[in-house]
Amino acid sequence: MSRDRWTIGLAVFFAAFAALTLGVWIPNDIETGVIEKFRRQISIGDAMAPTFVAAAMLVVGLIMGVLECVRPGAAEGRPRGLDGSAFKFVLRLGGLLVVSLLLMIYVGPLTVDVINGLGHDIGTYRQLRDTVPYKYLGYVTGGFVLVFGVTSLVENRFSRASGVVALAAVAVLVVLYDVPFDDLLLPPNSDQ
Amino acid sequence: MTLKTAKKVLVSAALGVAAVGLTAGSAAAEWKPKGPINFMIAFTAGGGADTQARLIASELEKRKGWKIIPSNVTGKGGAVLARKIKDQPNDGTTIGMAVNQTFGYNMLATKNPGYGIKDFSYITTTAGSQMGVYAKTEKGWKTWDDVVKAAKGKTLKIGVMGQKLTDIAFLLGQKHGVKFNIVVLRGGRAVLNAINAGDVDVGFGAGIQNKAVRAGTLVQFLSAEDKRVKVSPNAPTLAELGIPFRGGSKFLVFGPKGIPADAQAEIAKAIADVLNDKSTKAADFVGKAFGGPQLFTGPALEKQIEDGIKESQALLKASS
Amino acid sequence: MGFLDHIWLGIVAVFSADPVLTIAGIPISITITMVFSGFLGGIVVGATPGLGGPFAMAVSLPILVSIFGFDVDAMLPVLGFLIGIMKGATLGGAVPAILFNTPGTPDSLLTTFDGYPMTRNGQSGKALRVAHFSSVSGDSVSDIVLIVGAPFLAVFVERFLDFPEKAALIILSLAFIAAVVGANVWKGLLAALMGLFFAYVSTGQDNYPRLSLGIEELGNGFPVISAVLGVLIIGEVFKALEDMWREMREKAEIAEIEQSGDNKLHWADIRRILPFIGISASIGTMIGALPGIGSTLAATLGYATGRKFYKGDGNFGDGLPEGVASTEAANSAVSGANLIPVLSLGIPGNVAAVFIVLATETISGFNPGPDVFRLIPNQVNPEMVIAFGLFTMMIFANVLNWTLGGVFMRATGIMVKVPKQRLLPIVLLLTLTAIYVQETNMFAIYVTLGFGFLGYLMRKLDISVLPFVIAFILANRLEESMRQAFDATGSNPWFLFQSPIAVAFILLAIGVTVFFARNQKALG
Repeated sequence: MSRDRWTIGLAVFFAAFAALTLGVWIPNDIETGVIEKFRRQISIGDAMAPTFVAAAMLVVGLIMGVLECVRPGAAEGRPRGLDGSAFKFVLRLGGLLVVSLLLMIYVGPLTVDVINGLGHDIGTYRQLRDTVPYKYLGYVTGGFVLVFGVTSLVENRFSRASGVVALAAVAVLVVLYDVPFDDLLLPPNSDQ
Repeated sequence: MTLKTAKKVLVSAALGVAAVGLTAGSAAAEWKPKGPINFMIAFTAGGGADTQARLIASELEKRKGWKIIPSNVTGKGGAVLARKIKDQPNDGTTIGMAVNQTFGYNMLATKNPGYGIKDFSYITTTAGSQMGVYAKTEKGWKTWDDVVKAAKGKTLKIGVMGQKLTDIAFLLGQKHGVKFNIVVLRGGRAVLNAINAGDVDVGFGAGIQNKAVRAGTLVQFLSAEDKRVKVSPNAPTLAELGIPFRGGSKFLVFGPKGIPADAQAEIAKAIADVLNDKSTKAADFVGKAFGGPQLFTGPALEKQIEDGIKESQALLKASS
Repeated sequence: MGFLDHIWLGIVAVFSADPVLTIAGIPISITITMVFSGFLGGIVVGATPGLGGPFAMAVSLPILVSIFGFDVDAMLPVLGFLIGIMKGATLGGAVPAILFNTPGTPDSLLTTFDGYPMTRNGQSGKALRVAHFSSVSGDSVSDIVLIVGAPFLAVFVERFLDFPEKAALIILSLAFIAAVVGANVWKGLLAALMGLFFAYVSTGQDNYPRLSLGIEELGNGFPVISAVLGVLIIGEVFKALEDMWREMREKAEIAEIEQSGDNKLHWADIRRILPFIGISASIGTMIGALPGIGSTLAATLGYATGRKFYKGDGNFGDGLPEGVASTEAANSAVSGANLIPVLSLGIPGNVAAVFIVLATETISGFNPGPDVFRLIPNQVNPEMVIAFGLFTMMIFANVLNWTLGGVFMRATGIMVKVPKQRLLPIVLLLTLTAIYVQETNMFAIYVTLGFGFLGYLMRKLDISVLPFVIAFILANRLEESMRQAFDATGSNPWFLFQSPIAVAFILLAIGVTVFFARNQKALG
């Protein structure tokens, strides 16, 4: 049996990540050491747990890599890994997610800016974050684009039916989360 | 009239009403928040402190007509919340609830807390803890002296929550020439569980022990507050033992620095009104859980914060 | 107050608190209503290909918390709904497997082996009835073992385990889960280590959030719900979307087959399948009690044992009721027993248990673990009341299962027509919304999506997600118990090796890893 490059890749990745964490990240990004002398009592510092974990990762990564080289195929359940079309899919899905989140965050505030710019002083978006209809603008737009977009990506076509389903789904979620609860805000309104 | 113009008329009518409302408001000189208030709570959702905050919030909504949206921003003894509130708008529409320790010991004990006491407006305290030291009655200890005597025979384990209590426990041991193994547990409930399970011998509690102390299954030896705690009037304070520090803390409502004075005063007054009105759920809860409200505002509150800093500096020095 | 008082209080808490409606003059409590709705929802979701119990539990938890709040009063209704889903989904999962040869979950893959041939022979009704009877029997056996076993185990643990032993026990559980789940021990260990590592970011005792790279929003670590739902749910959604995207036009038409055979479940049938149910239920219960192994292996072992045991005409795979019974009894028997480690040790062993633990961490007042079953002199232990309330709800859900389950189950065949490619994007938005509502910031959404991609990658590279999730949940408890053990022993660096029990746990942890590393194929 031939060596599995994904398994070796994983082993190398984890070993390298662990080494980097041990050598650079932990020493520079944790305030207390592995062992901390605190008020004359010696106690475990914040660095201990991550250090042990990273060290174990290094060891396990090395074992896995060495085993795969010495006894190829010893590791059962070899990964199918990522092929070109997986990358294509991830890129498209990721793009869709980014676009819909951007819409979710900015549609509301931009609409309010435009209305204010047209001479109606309706206040800032922050002040209107719990006011109909402003509070729904971002969520409905972003949510619709997310659901409709992902459905269309998978179906490889835009269909009216999936548009209707997406719109209905967003409406149901608004009814489910926003209408009955006074203290809950839909995205992105809690961040305002 | 087309739909569009109808809408325009409606909108301008509404704006007109709003404008009139604003002038009327300023004439009465009562501060009103512009939009909903974000009320960020530094405690885990569902716990006693969180319940207190949410009850106060809903009562404020009822009485003042403000819209208040509570959320939980937990972690690091309030430091996560403090860092978040620091940069929020200071028009009174963002406030938070933490404990005074967040701006005292917790801040000083950290090399780089990411905030300072000047970063905030301190609005009001609401209530305080009933911090004491207790153990299981079946251990046979009646007073603190009994505990000290036992500790001379064998090293006792003492359960604490947080670094400040670790220091105080250390000083307690030092005072009596005994060594305690100090175990830091996550919260008062964990200490109580460890006491009940026999994993630690004595522990600190902020009030969670009161029910069992009253029932007689736990016994309280010391008060870590200014005064003796209500449930154990015979237990001396730390100061009476000659340790001039307090382990307890107070709940504190605060916001980013520079909140207008009228806004601060209005929020503080509204909270005081809620907690002083015995008929409210909030007052009832604060009475049961924290032994009644403790309302410090303005200069009195600022002095408390400063005193807290001095005390914490002294404690850090004494225990290192 | 003794155990009996607590049992009674638990029953009362479930049946009489907060009645919401009255049926025939009898007030029905909110908790009972929630168990019932969860149960119905669970059957429907279980019968929907591509969804399953974990999906439904994940999505409903934040909604439930919004409705009922974080207060201790919320605990029983919320847990009731989750238990209902857990039970209902197990039952519903058999439906698409039997009717359409499309297993909704890996567990029901083996149900297709004999269930679908029965449908082709015109006996789908009988197959569903066999599945229902076996599933409910297995579940009931498992619940009884849980109810009898968990309190005793908890009392034992509480009495004999101190801080160091508890820390050693968590290590043992994690090693066991990592070694047993999935085909490759080393990948399982890496998954668990990754889970630990992510959980250690931005947590710890010092006020500076360690390893946070100065990212302010990380103040208190990755939100647990984001990490868990991201890896478990979003990762699965991404993977399923990709699979559909690839196989877009290869959808097979579903042909209706006329059901004209013997579709009743006779006494003779029950007598035939009962021994198989007995064997499989025992296997499932034993496997369920061990953290991490889960229902898929139980179903596999149950089916394999049943096949070895079968002496009659025909073979497993030809459409034998015994085959369906062996599988369904085994995988259903896992769910009850899986709560044994949760209630006695506070350690979740499978995905359903993860959500039970997540619920108890979100809502205050009930922390599963050995403390729960402690008797306090002259006082009620409210946590024990909740625990017995939980048992009461499980028994109630079983009664529902026996009486109404079969009818509802047979009615959900229609769910297979729900188009997955329209459903999953909605699940995605629903999950993100639910997380936002609970965490109240966009950062939690980004974290969720990040963990979603991690979960997707792990699935692509055959790294099991369960060790990751359970390690993430237990990580901070592990660190805390280490610190506490260290402090309580007066800073003794060898605290893990001071007592024979702790040493035994650590040796077992190493032994388990080595054993499974050498015997990969035994379980694969």
